[in-house]
Amino acid sequence: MPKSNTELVLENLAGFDRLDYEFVANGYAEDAVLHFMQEEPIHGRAEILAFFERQFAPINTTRIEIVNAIESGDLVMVERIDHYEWKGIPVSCPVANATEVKDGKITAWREYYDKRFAADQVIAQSKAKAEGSV
Amino acid sequence: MTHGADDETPTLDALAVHELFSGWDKEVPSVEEMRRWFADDLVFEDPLQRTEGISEYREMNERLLRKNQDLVIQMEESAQNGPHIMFTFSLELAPSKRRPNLRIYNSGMTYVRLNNEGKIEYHRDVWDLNTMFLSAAPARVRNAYRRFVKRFG
Repeated sequence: MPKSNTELVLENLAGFDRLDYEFVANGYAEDAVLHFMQEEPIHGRAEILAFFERQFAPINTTRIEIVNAIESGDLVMVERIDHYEWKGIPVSCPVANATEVKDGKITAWREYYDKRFAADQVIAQSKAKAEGSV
Repeated sequence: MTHGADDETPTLDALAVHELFSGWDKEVPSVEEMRRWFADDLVFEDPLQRTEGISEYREMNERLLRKNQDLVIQMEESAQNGPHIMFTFSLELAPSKRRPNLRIYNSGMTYVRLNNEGKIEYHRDVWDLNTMFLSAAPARVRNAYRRFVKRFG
């Protein structure tokens, strides 16, 4: 039985838990578009893989907690909390993605999150570490 | 919008939620009108605030409309699974009357949950505060920020 679009997207997200960015990128179509909404969109699977490897290099561990996943035709919308360690500092950040899937491959991924939320945690914990309270 | 056994208690679906929020960038409905679609114990959360109850929720939307010029909110994609509805939106506004050419843009995702009566009991928005303010910043500031994010983000 073929996998549902939701199952494909959740499996793709599980690749981040293993820090397996090649697996994640392979889930995208050759000409897919990845758009972190506050950045310029990234076009093409090879560019997407390069972005993951560059952007997530400081991340040691990741655990993606799925809050809601809803599917409507080609569209899968997921609300999640990303827990990760950024240079050893634990961060939890609410994130949402709207993902289009065609013929078993991701063709578009739009990611929404509050970067400030993650940055505040990194700054607060770095400060606490520097002051010796953690 | 679908109706239950009793036509006085309609329930919402994804399309109806689209319809419900469209027009709030021009006029926010009264508390009485909102009671038809929202639970009295409605909770709202976004990166800036949390509100409880319809009155606080209405006041927050009214404030957004009052303090900003030319507010345009567009609902985009949506999906529903039972009582869970999600949709993406884009937003454009002019934060200053004196500088109407200064525009702020943002986009985000909304999650709403319906209660047993089919009314919205929970509404959460995910969007990026920095993006909103950066969209109004000069290009050199935006580029410097992007370089910073690339290096440390």
